[in-house]
Amino acid sequence: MEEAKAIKAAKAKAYREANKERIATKKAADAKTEHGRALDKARGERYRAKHPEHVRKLQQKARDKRAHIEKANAKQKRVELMNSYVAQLLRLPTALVPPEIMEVERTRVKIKREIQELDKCRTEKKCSTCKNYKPIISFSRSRGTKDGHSYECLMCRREKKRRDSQEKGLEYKPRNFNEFGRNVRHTPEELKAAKRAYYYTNIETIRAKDRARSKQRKQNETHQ
Amino acid sequence: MKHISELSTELATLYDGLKNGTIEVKVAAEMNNTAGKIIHAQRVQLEYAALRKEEPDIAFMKTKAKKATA
Repeated sequence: MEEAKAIKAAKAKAYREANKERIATKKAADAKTEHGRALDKARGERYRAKHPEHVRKLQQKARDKRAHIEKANAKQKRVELMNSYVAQLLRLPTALVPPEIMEVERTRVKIKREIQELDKCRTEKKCSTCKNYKPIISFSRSRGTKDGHSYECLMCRREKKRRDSQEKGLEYKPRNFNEFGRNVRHTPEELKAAKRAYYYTNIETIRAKDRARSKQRKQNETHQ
Repeated sequence: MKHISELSTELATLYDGLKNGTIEVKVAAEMNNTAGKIIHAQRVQLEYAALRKEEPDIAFMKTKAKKATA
């Protein structure tokens, strides 16, 4: 029985080998017709049902192959992108930049990025106006800059504002700020004291306003 | 430093030093900046050669094999 099966398989294989071209043309012709496609589909389903393990293996193999190609393509794309970025930095067409310069520039970009990363953790910064190193808290947050802090310290900015308003003839009222230039909120006691001080310095005007207000109220009542 | 390969190795060691923490950020930034200046000087020569439609003849960028033959 086994032998007969083997002989049949060998015969079929030999037939396929001998009529390779004819089978291929028939397959191609079948693929164009509806009936042929249906036959092909049925054949495929039959094969999948008969050899599920083999089909799974083949699918896995195809998936691996595709993943490998995709990985290589992604790598190539990354390299090309980096090269075009480097060429853009050098303001030259990509084809004109020699590979040695490309390599050096790539390393430079890497170092630059590393420095930017390290810059985020620093505690001090140099003010671009007064050229002094100050704690990072003395600089306001800014989205536009590389490290997320403004180039100018808060004190210099305040001074600039004051100068500008003076030039324009406007009044400049600075807020209460600490040694780092940060605004400080008043405590309730301070607010109370400030209110009291204001009352005693402007006592006459406040009392006159009060008197006028009470007079107005009385007049309104008599009208009603 | 007489060849671009030397500059490349120098930058590679600089990057490693920066990663290890053996080189200060300020120093690294300055060295990186200087390397940029060198590269941009070569860029000017390349651009000049391209404008004149000539093969660039820059000693700093010639390969060692070419150097030996010349």
